[in-house]
Amino acid sequence: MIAMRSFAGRAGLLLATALAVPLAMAALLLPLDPSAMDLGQAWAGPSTAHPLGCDGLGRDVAARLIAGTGTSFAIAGLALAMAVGLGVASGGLAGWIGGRADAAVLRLADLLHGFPELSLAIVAAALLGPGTEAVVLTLALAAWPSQVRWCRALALSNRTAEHVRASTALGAGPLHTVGRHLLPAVAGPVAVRAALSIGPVMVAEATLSGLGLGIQEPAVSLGTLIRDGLADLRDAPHLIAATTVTVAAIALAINLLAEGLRDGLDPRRR
Amino acid sequence: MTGRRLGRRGLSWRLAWRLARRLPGLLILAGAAVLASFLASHALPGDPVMLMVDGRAADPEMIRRLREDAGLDQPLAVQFLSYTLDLLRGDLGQSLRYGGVPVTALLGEALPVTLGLMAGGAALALPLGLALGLAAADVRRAWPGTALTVGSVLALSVPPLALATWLMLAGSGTAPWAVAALALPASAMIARLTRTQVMDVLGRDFIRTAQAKGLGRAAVLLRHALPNALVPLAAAVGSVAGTILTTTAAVETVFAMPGIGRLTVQAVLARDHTVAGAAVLVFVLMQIAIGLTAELLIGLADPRLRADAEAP
Repeated sequence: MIAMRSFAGRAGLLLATALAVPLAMAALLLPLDPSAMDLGQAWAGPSTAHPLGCDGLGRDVAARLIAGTGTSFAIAGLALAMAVGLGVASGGLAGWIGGRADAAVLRLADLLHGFPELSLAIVAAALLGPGTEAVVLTLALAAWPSQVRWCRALALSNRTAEHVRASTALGAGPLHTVGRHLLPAVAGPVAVRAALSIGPVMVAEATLSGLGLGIQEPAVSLGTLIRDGLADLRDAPHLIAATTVTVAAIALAINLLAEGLRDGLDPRRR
Repeated sequence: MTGRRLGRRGLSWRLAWRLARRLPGLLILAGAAVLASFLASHALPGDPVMLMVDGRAADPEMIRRLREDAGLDQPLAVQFLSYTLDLLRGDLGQSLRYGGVPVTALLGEALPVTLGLMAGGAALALPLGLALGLAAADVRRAWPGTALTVGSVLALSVPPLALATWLMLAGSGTAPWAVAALALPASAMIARLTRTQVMDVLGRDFIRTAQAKGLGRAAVLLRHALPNALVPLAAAVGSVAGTILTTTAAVETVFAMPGIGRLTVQAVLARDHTVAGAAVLVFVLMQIAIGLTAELLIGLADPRLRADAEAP
């Protein structure tokens, strides 16, 4: 695998395995329900039934971490899918057509890039109400400008490529050229770029939800877990320690894998 | 750096032109930000008047009068116009949570706290990031680069809320620890960017010339590689400004510092829409300010933009 050529990539794989194996075993072996309360177990320390202990409402911390990791992955994936889909459509079209369409899309991307995450999060929360939809929209809008520029650059460089001009010269219509020659050529670079963004987008979700601007109770994400931990800081500092270390380790594994991918693909960095 | 290198006039026409060229774009952005801030404070679920009377048994006549006073019975376009005009007069309305307190007063109290935190963070992160980036731009050995990569990935993987919490638990919860929580991820970003740009520059011909005339490694890096790497670095700092703002809000929240970030978060949670709406605009303006400051500082150091470089 290409990501394994560098130290960062190998360290990332090792860490990801070290995290995934116990989490998967816990998910398979223990009857974990992230919202099941057992007040008798409030603030309980680690035990065989609750490997990471319980929070102030007696909810299993390990179960909540597993559920929260799933939610955060899903949110980051959804937001990136939206950003990439829109980015390929608008950026690809802009680079392919050029002229005024290109200028307009670039202006729009620049304009949106001028809005910091926090501003986008406030507007989204005000218009949609704080919650999952608002945070997905925020993360998608924040990721869109860089995706657009990337797709535009790819389309621009492919427009004048020889195989594309040959296809046009042979009489192929625009739909055939785009479907058969442009999209397959940009798919790889676009996918790599999206994969590199998963870690930062997950960290952004954790921060927004952790501040209370994102996912709301009773839904669980890595961000709401940090928020719970902060609220219980005085009563149970071990709670925030367990959640933040796990969240950081997950993000670290993903980012190290991404770094390995970047190193492996960039000939100058080898 | 010698005195001559900074230039006599400092600001050159070329640098002024670079900044002036961005003005129309920035004005459009500011206009869009005003619109977004209006949307966040007006076109939302939940009636601000109902929030003002706060569940107290209010008779319909009074509610009607309050709505009229606030201009809420007008069409949205008219409301937007009066919002913009008020804004130009320096009036952002009143907080819904702290009845009657002007939003500008709340922002005026919070802004110095945030600016102080950010200035402290920049004073720590810029030298640290530049030094680490330069040290890691070593083409002879692999380990400094690997160490920086792994270290910076680690610093950027820890969610800012988590890092701030750890530093608060480890330290005393005082301001220097808050500054460290902001500066650590920022210096990791700067170090990565510096390394990439410096390694790019190191491949160019004038570097080989400098080495050929016998300059030492430190002199090549500081006098030739770094100044030429600074311009792309300025653009990159501008593009991570949003992340810096989010991190600042996280640090303020954990350390309970009464800055803009904490004020905004509390306003959103309390549905204090006028304050939250104003914050949309404030954050956009702060991001613009970060970008321009970076460009100005680095423009002063860049050999091609300096005043003394203009002599034919």
